[in-house]
Amino acid sequence: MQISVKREEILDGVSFTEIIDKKFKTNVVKVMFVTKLSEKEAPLNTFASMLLSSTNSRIKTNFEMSDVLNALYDSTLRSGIVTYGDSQIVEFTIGCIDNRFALDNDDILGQLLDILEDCLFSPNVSDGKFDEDEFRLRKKELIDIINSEMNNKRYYAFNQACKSIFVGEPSAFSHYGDIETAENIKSEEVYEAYKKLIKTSHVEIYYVSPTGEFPVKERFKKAFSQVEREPVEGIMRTPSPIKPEVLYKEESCEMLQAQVVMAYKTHHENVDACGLFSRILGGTAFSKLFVNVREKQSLCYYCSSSYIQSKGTVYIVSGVENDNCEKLVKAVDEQIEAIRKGEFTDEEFYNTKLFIVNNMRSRSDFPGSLASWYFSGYCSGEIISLEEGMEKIMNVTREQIIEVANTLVLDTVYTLKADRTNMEGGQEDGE
Amino acid sequence: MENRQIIKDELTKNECIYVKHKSGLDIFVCEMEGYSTVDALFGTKYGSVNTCFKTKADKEYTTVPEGIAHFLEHKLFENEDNDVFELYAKTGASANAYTSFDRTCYIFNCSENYEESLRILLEFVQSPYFTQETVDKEQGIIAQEINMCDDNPDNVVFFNTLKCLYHNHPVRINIAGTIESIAKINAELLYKCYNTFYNLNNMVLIIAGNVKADEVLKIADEKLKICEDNGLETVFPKETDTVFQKEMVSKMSVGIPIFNIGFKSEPGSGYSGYKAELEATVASTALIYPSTVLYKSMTEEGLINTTFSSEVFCGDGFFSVMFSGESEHSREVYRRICEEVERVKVEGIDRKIFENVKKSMYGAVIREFNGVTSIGSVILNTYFAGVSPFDSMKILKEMTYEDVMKCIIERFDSEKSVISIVEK
Repeated sequence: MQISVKREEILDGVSFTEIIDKKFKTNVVKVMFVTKLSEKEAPLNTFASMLLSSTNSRIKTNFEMSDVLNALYDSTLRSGIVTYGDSQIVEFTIGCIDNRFALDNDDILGQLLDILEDCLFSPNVSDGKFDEDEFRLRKKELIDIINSEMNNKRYYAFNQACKSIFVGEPSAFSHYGDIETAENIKSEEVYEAYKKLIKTSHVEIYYVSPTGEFPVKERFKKAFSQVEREPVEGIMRTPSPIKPEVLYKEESCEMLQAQVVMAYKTHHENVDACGLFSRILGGTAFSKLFVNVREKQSLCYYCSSSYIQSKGTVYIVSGVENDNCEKLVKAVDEQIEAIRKGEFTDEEFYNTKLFIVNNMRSRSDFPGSLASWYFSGYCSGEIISLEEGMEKIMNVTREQIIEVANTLVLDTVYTLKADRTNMEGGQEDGE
Repeated sequence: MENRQIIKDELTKNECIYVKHKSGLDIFVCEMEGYSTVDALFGTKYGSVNTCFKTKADKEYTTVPEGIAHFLEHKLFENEDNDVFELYAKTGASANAYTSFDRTCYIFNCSENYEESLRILLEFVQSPYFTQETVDKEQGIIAQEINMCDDNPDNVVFFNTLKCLYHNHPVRINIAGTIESIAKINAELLYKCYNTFYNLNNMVLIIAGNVKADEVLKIADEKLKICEDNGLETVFPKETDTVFQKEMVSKMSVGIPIFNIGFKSEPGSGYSGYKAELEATVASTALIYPSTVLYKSMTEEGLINTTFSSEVFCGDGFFSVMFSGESEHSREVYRRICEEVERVKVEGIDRKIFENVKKSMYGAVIREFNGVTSIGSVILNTYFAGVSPFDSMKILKEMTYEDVMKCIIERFDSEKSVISIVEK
């Protein structure tokens, strides 16, 4: 690998990471605001991020913004929201082709950075309110996003499950809020949320480039030093409390296939072993769940697991026939029990490590993925290179996997049952 | 030494090596300096639309159940001795496969020891093993996959559009088939399809990233079995240029209704077909470009939101332009698009918008050359379209305003348009 990585704190609570790899043909800049996840502020921050990424004081409408980005060779400016632990991450990403490919010597990255800087520090605001028209349009977009959650049953089931899995914790909050909240959001409160985000968030900035020739660091240093700052560190790792009894929650929806989400929790500190455990269980096409639940029992098309380090939680998700829901839960539990007893071969263990290491190494070929790796490092409190990450995985022992498996406790089983009573096909009213 | 042809793109300095292998297989190798990963795709020109075919050894055409290409893709992962995923597990590679309308592709991605993964890929795709027992076992898994797709409104709205647009072309059937159609699949039919379509003369290998062409070709020599061209013929039922029905509405539990509007036009092939695809992409993007009066007014009136977009959907015997999105007023969106098409045919599209769309597409093409996976996809798509890997750049550079206007006049006919809606 030929990557050069430099990270430094450019201001109190603002860190800048420059990742240079000459093979890339694009530049990517990510600005991540880390803030406390709260039920009231989360939808306001989400809404603010939508408004900030669609206009600024010079580009007054989203129509104009799309036009400008297209003219900059399909450049992108996106905002996104994720949860990490009990923190909300509000991120802004710009991406563009490198200036050497510009026709007519356009300064693509320079212009794109101007736009991003204006979006973040000079929004489309007057008298303490966002532009009225844009506010109305983005509010409709927010409401549409909330409504459309139901269109994707897997996503919907997962979000519903999280409300039960993390009941009483910030992780149960939705980034979008509900329809009623969205409808009542006022422009002034979004503007206040924006100001608080800029003032109090911890900020991580990533610049991934083939050359690093742009003074991106200096620009952000100057921009952040000109605003009032009182940064507060986010709460990143908060293992979820384990319920004294398993919570079984069932809902139903008009659809053909039932969705099952199971959550197991652990407070084990060895996060590499927990991640590897989850892969052995259901994170590859040769995992316990794939081989036994899908291939041998033909119960489902997918049954996979993933580990959320910040919450100490392993999720298992699957789609099955209604009548097979209980069978699935039992089958998953049996596979976990098998790992508890050490019933996995040295080959399965080693091959899973190889798979993870292969995936980690692949990250070096994707600019966005490289930035995400280093941001995850910040979140987990251990910023290490990909090579160091791979070494840690290779050092996990069988005994540690068995130990992790024995600390895992089934916490929640959420089932979204398929209700076929009123279902109909399309009307074939042909001519 | 095989006859190697080097295909270059002067602007991005990307290049790939093309070899017509003695086995009959077309091979593309893209050596990419500085990259860690390798992406390989072994594909056959066999997808869900190829339901009626014959080879020179057959007297009659064979018609097979819907969804069999996809079923075959699943079953090829199981060979006589073990599961293919177990073999890949030893190399650390991530393996997968997919079936679309016109192709089936077997893929792996790895960052070490690609030679061994390539051997596995070439070997398992050439070693079918089907028994009634393993076929029966797969029915349950695929039935769940079909249910999963049928619960997805985006999938339903898209396939309903195809059902509206096409009278007979098999593009109107679901890729995975139906629970009833897959029940008719047996081991014998799978072998028939395999022996017909998995002939190396009907296939392509594309490998990009941290590879060396010499090593790839050495493994190809070692593993590929020489195939005689079987004179494959695929036939499609006659398709008229009218649409089958103007509208289809499905009821599902959606939080917000979704729509898909399709304009049917004459299918193309080869270079001219690919050029038509890019022209239609520019045309449809320009028609609903965010700074147009159409887009602005529909947004301001709450008829569309930012999910509104267009795409060109074309292949062997089908060509359509689609507009999709979320709306409580889909029919009004449809009416406005048709109205705009007629206006633009007379008044023309804005020239600045045309230039911006072209510039944007140029940027998108450069981006595609930024990664191992995307370069593999570009080579695969252009191969299936019957053009050279870097032709998109050339076509874009040469595309004129007049080309795009001609495309709008010829390919956007409201009489040959349909709407599909999924609502609560």
